[in-house]
Formats: sequence, C-alpha cells, structure tokens
Amino acid sequence: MSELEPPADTGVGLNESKYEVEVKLGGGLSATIGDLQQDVNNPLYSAHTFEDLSLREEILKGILAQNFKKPSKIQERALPLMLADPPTNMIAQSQSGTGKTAAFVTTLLSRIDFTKEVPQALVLAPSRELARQIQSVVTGLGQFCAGLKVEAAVPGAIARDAPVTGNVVVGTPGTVMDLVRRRALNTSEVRLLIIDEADNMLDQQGLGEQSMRVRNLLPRQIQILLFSATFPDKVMKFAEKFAPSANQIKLLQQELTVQGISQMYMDCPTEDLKYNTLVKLYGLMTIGSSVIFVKTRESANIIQQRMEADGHKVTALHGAKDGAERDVLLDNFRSGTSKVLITTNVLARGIDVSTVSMVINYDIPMKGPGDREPDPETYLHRIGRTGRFGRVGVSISFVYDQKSFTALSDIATLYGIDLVQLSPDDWDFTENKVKEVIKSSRAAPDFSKAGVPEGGAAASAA
Amino acid sequence: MLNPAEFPTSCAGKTSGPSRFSIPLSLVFNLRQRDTTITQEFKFARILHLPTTAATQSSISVMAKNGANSSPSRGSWQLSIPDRAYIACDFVSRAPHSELNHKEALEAAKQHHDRVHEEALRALELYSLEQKQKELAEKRRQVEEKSRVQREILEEQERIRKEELSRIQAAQEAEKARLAAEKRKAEETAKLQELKARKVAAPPAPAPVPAPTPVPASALKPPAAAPSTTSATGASLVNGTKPSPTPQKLALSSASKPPTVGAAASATQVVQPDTIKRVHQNLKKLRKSMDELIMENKRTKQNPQLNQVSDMRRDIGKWVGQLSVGTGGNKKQLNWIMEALNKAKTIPCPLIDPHEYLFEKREPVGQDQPQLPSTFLYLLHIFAKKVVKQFAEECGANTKAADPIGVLAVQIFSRHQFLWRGKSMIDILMAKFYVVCPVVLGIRGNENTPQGRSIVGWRYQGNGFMPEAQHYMRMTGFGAGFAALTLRDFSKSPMKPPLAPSCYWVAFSAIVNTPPNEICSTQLCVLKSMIEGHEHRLLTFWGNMGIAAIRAALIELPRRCPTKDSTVGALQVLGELLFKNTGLPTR
Repeated sequence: MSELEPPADTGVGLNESKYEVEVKLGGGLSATIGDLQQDVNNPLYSAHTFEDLSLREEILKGILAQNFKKPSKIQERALPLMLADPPTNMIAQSQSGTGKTAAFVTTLLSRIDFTKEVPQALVLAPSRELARQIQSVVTGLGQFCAGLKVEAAVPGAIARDAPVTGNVVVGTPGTVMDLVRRRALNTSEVRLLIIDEADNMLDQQGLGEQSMRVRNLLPRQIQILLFSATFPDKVMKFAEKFAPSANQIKLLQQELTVQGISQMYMDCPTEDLKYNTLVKLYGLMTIGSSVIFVKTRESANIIQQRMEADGHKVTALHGAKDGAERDVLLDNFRSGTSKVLITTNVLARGIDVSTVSMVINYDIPMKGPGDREPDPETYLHRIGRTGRFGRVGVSISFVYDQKSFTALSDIATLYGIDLVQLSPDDWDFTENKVKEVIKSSRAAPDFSKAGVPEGGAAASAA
Repeated sequence: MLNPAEFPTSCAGKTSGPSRFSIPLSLVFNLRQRDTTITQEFKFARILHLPTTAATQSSISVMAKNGANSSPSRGSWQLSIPDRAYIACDFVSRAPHSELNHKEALEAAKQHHDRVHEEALRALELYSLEQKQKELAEKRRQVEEKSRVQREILEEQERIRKEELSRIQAAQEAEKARLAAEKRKAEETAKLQELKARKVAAPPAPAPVPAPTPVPASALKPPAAAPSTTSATGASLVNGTKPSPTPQKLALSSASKPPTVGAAASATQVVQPDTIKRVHQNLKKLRKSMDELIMENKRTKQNPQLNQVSDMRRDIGKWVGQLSVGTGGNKKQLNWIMEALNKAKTIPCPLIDPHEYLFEKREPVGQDQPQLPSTFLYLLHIFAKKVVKQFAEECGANTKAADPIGVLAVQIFSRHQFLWRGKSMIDILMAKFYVVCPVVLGIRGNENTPQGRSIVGWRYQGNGFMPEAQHYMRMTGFGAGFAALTLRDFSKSPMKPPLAPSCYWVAFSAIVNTPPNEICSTQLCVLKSMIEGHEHRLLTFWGNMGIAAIRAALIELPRRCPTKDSTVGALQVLGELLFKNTGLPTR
C-alpha cells in the first residue's frame, strides 16, 4: 500500500498516539493525568495550544517564529504548573528531545522584567556546550522581547572585570560561583533558578555541590525548576533537597528507552575493518548530520582525517580542544557546514542538533577501571542525540570482539531493547534490513506534537 | 494689580497740602512703566477732583482686569482696605528707604521674576508641543503618502492582472473561434471532396487545407496572478519557459532586470494529475524491475558491470546527504554523481523510451537516441528520489540545507550529457515531488479528515497518519526544497534552467489565492518555507512585484484565514521578522 493512502477502512481515524505522564503536586497530591486537565482552574490543566497559556505576545511570537506549532506532551503538562502564580518549584523528568528546554525557557521569559538590567533568572548546565545551547534557545524564543539580554557564564565568555548585566544568565556552576564570589554577578534580584541535566551534575565531580552553593547565595524565595532525563534515587534525593515542595512530573519508566530510534548493531569482522564499514553506512539511508562516538581523542582525529580524504565534511570535537575552538566547531556542525561530528563522551548529553539522523557507537561506552563494565546511561544519552522531537533516528553500535558484544548485549538486556543485527557482508541485504527497521520504527509513540524547529539549536529544544 | 478705583483716598484727608501730590506719585512710580502714565493721570484727576477721560477710565479697567499684564503688587496692597489705608498712611510717615519699603520692593520683584519665569516655561512647553504636533502631522502625512503609493501599486498590479487575464481570455476565445472555423472549413472541404469523389468526371481535389498557424504563445501562458483556475484543476507548470507575464512586466518596470529565465528550453506545459500519476507509477515499475534485474544478475553473475549499480546507487544517496551548507565545497560530490551517471550510460542493459518518465512528448533533435539505457534512467531516478527524501528528512529541521541540494539537482538536470532531445529530464524529479507535496499544484484538503489528509500528501504509515509535527516538518522541507529548485539564476550560465522561476510563482500564487474557507495548514506551512530565506531571490526575479507577493502571503493571506492557528501566526511572525531584519514592508 502506498504511504500516502489510508487503509480501505478509515475507521482508524487520525491516530494520535499517547503516552502517560505522572504528576505529583507539591502538596503531596498524586494523580495520573485525567479529567483534572480539563479544568482551566486546576493546576493540572493541560494546555493544548500555546495560546491557551496566556503568554505575553512577544513570547508567543518567538515560539511561532521557531516553528513550534503545539506544545509537546511534557510542555502541555508542565507549563501550566510552572507558569502558575505563586511560582512553585518543579522537578521534571522527561527523555531527550521532548521539549524540556523550550518549556523552561518559556517559563523563564515569562518571569523576567525586561526593563531591568540585572540578572533575574539563572540557568545552570553541566557543560559549556549545553550552556551555550540553552543560551541560543533563550535568544531564539525571546527574539521579540525587547530588553532581553542573555549572558553565558562559561569560561572565557565574560570579561574579567565586567559586571554581568544580562537579565538571564546561563552558565556552568563553577563559573557562576566564581562570578558571584567576585561580586560580578548580582544575585539580589534573581527570582528563578533552573538546573538542566541534574543527574549529570551529580555524576560530575563537585558540580552538584557547586550548584548547591550557588543556590545558597541566591535569595530564599525563588522558583526552582529541575530537569533531568533520568532520576536515579541519588538524584531524586538531591532534587527534593534542592527544590523543596516541588511539583513533580515524570514520564513512566517503560517509556524511557528512546523508542523512536531504530537501534541496530554492526557485527564487524575485525577492529581494522570498522572504518570501511563506517563509510558504507552513509549509503544505506537518508542521513542529514551524524554523530560518531569514539573512545579516544586519537581515534577521533584519525577517523576525521580518513573521512575528510573520502570527501566528507567532518568535525572532531573532544576535550583536547579549548573552549572557544569547541564553540566554533559545534556551530559549524549545527549550521550544516560540516555534516559529521566525531566526538568522545564530551557531547553525550543534552546537545541537540536537530538534523542528526544517525548516531554511531564506534566504540561501545564503557566505565569503571580498565573499562571493565558497560555504561548503559551513556549509551542512552548518546543515542538520544538523534530522533529529536519524534524525528526518524538511527543508532548503530559497532561490535567486533567478545567484550564489545557482551557489553552491548548487557545494555540491550537492561533496557529491553531489541537490537537488530547488521552484517557488512552483503550490503544489498543490509540496506533492505535497515529500511525495514526504519519503517517499523515510524509507528513508534508520538512523543511530541509540537512543531519542529528549524535552523539548528537556536530553534530546538532538548 | 492695584485697582486705582480702590485707592484709599481717605488717607488724603489726613495729610497736608503739598504731600497730597507726593503720596500717590510715589506709589504710582512703583507700578510698571507702561501703566504709569494712565495711572498718574487718574491719580491726579482723583486727587484734584478733576474729571477723567473716557479712554483713561477704560484703560484702567482693562488693567484692573488683566492681572497677568500688570506689574507685581506689593504685599500691603493685598490686604483689606482698612489695613492698606493704615499702611499707606504709615508709608507716608516713614522714610522712602525704610526696610519695609525695601522688602516690599524685593518681594514685588521676586513675584515679577517668578511670573516671567513661569510664563517663559509655559511658552517653552507650548513651543515644544507645537513642534511635536508638527512632527506628528508630518509623520501622518508620510504614512498616508506611503499607503497611498502602496495602494496605487496594488491597484496597478490588479489592473495589469485583469488586463492580462482578459487578454488571455480574448486570445483563447479567438483561438477557439479560429479552430472552430478551421474545423468547419475542413468539414466543408471534406464534404466537397466526398462529393467530388462521387463525381468521377470531376477535376482533382482542391488545394490542401493550409497548415494550421502556430498557436499564439500568449494563449499558452498561464494566468500567473489568477491561479485559482490552475488550482481548481490541480494543474501547474513544469518545464516552464518564461516567468509569468505579470511578474515579468513589473520586474521590468521596477528597473530590476530579470535574469534570462525566458531562455529555458522546453515548452510551457500544464501537467495534469493523471500525467503525474502515470510517470510516478512508471518510475516505480522501473525501480522494481531494475532491482529484480540486479538481484538476478547477482545470482547469475552474467553481467559484472551491473553488479556495480547497487554500490553506485548507495554512493549517490551518500553524496546527496553529505552536501555542506555554504558556498562552494560540494564540487567533489557533483563530480562523483556525474561520474556515476556517465558510467551508467555505458553499462550493457535494456534500453527504454524515456517518454515513459516525462510529462510531454518530445520531438527528435539531431542525433538523439530514441531510447536510453535503463541503468542510466534508473540511477537518475534514484538521484531524484534521494533529493526529495533529503528535502523531507533534513531540510524540515534545517531549511538552509535545502539550498545545496537544490543547486546540485539543478546542476545535474541541466547538464548537456543528461538532457534528452535538447531538454532536461527533471520531470523524473518533479513527478515524485508533486506526489509527496501536491499543495504546490494548488491542491488542498480538509486536514481533519483522512481523505483530506491524503490529498495534501499527509503520509500514512504503519497504523495511522504520521504525527502532526513530523508532517509539518516534512512539508517545511519540501517548501524550502521547491524554492531551492525553482529560484535559480541561470543568467550567467550557458545552460538552461530545468525549472523556470515562473514555476515558483505559479505555486506561490496557487496557495495565496486559495479561497479562505479552503486554506489548510499544510499549504501555509509550505508557503512559509518557500519564502523564508528566499526573499532576496523574489526581489531579484520580480522586483516590486516580489514585494507585493510577499505582502500578499504574509499580511493579506493570514488576515483572510478564518481560523488563526499557529501556521497562520507563523506567517505573520515571519512578516514581522522580515520587517525587523530586512526592512521589507511586510508588517
């Protein structure tokens, strides 16, 4: 049957897929979304259009300019709670690419007095790249807000002696701490604190602690919004301490394995043949941009050189490059000047480049001393770089020996993923298989009804 | 002001003879200079019991009323009459340079100063208000002037459009009449011949019917600014030759010379949905049969060259996907794809008549082969398919990525070695494009019904229609892709554009002129991405007419839409953004 033709029996209607969100109000009331959302006066009211949210006109214009058409599921539920007065804290868990960033940026813009040139909202992110990405989302959604000034508090972005005058500050905890200590950042007017990727903050040495210190330097009565893709117990304890009496929004656990992404693995005969297999993958499906995750900086550089010699436009991004250089490289990748990004784990989390349609785990993510055990969380975050906003995404993991195979199958077992095996022996066969996998994944849940941003990060939301 | 009528004459009786004159005079000299004479005259008259003149009386009363022009009064004179009488007497009794006298003088001076100051401030305020009023009036005049000019432009456009329409209709009618006359004549001739044939002894047949004169070009031109007729039949232009008449005229009148798009090779042609469907189905069959042939050959290994076609197919897909945004840098990809297509021509395989994959019949030109290798047509089709897919999957997320893809497609389809009978074979691409994005043909449907969704190209997959967000993303990509394919400037190229910019214009007007109650979000979504980032191209090709078109799409169309959903809002916001960033009058 043609893709464009509905079945003879059109009783299936327009097929809007659904998924469950659990909401827990700060007062202890717990409910799964239901009739309560129909009541405009109820905090559980679900906004089906952005117009329902009574946003300021300039914010609404910014949303439309970014091609958002309707709120995503998480936005439908979270925005009325976050925008309600008096401001209430919020802890939200949602997988990548479902519109978290746009949700908190909309809240942030609604709470700012643009006539004042003092910091009023502070956003903390675990990495420089993520902070800059959030900065560009704020700038994009707030492009019609006269007086909006967003500053990125990341190393090297703010002059040493200059005070921070932006009414929104997005930064990494360390730099923000430093600015506050030097009295360059006036926190007296801050009324909103947002923490993105809270789980990652806790994973990284000292970031959680620094965030807590920043919190203690802010006025007592502020609204705190805390976001994360995953909430292990450790993170939840931290979150509840950090944002007391918060409303909580959670995607149900079984939905967390990024189902919109077709996950496959390539069985390579030897490690040396991995490269030849890699370049063949680009002919198997329609690919916009792609991200290749490797283990070491050296292998990133080597693959970059080989791919460039083969005619690809490649960017290699890893910890060996300094901040400003990383910014430029990532911007090139976002704009489409380069189509392949090779990176180590630096970018595993949060970075949203909307055109990424393939993620390759050139090396399976490992952790522990001597890389003894698989790292399932990093795997989840890596593959989350594609399939943003319900788009088609493919992840292919390379295995070539017993260790890599076992590690990948452990990860697959943990998340209950049905990984499809591909073989580099017969490319016609492999091509057909990939097509089938992609086709079947198209019937995956609709994580977002929202319009899809165009033009890269400024328009997209993690 | 002191009212001399109230002057305490009673005190005069308490003073001696000579001082009767000095008292009023000393007071009078404290008054403002210009009032002095009148007041003096009055005083003297009162004191000497003389009659005052009528003029003096009236001047005095005016002065009394007009406090603003009077000199400052002294504090003592604001007291009630008995008190003043006392002070006046006291004044007489004390020295003229007494402290009280001084203070009163100072006080009077201060009050005078204050009043002058206040008056100055008031005058200044009045002046600035007047200036503001003048500025506002000037602004209003400018705005009115601007709107008048805009109105005139729009009226002129409308007039030209109507003229053009009536001209086309007249030409069509004339053509119809001519054809009818010819037909009649032919019938008569045939009858005559028949009659003559019956008469054996009759002379030979008369001179043959003269060959029909070529159809005037104007009769074939599409009514560019009235696409409702086009859209009603779901037809559009492909392989367009000239930019539609209206825009061309206006572009010339606005002194922006349009590029030589008129040189595009093929004849103007209206593509019927059936034709598109036929070509699309034929392409599907070609793909299927070639895939089978390749698989069969893989098994039998008869033709080793045919085995490479699969790799070539994948390589073409790879390079279409690896184009980089920005000028230059994609030459390698172009060369590789051309190399593959050239190589495909040399692979031994069945030959096919390309008419199967074209919208119109083509007459032989020179040494052109009547048939082409199926491998070549297959790979050309694969290339076209990958281009359309790339629009759908990449350009919806990043519309800027459409430009290099459009450039590549147009370069391939305009190359001499890939033409057939002197014309581009871009029909292979457009057949696919029109199927996935029919709204550029003016087609629309009710998106709240499954049938309506199918009509506008809403993809059906698995167990339902594609989610809304993904559908609009695809359509955004197609809009950007359509603009990237059609808005190409070939004025500096020896090659001919496979798709003239008039195709863009026709699609654009087909959407903009949709009746308000039939407008659907898919159309608006495609229209938005057709404009966004391409506004400079519209200006290059059509000058002021381009601006008018953008205004029609971003201002007038949203106003007409009965429902104001986010796709309507997005068009309005794009107008504001263009106004903000480029200064175009799109707000």
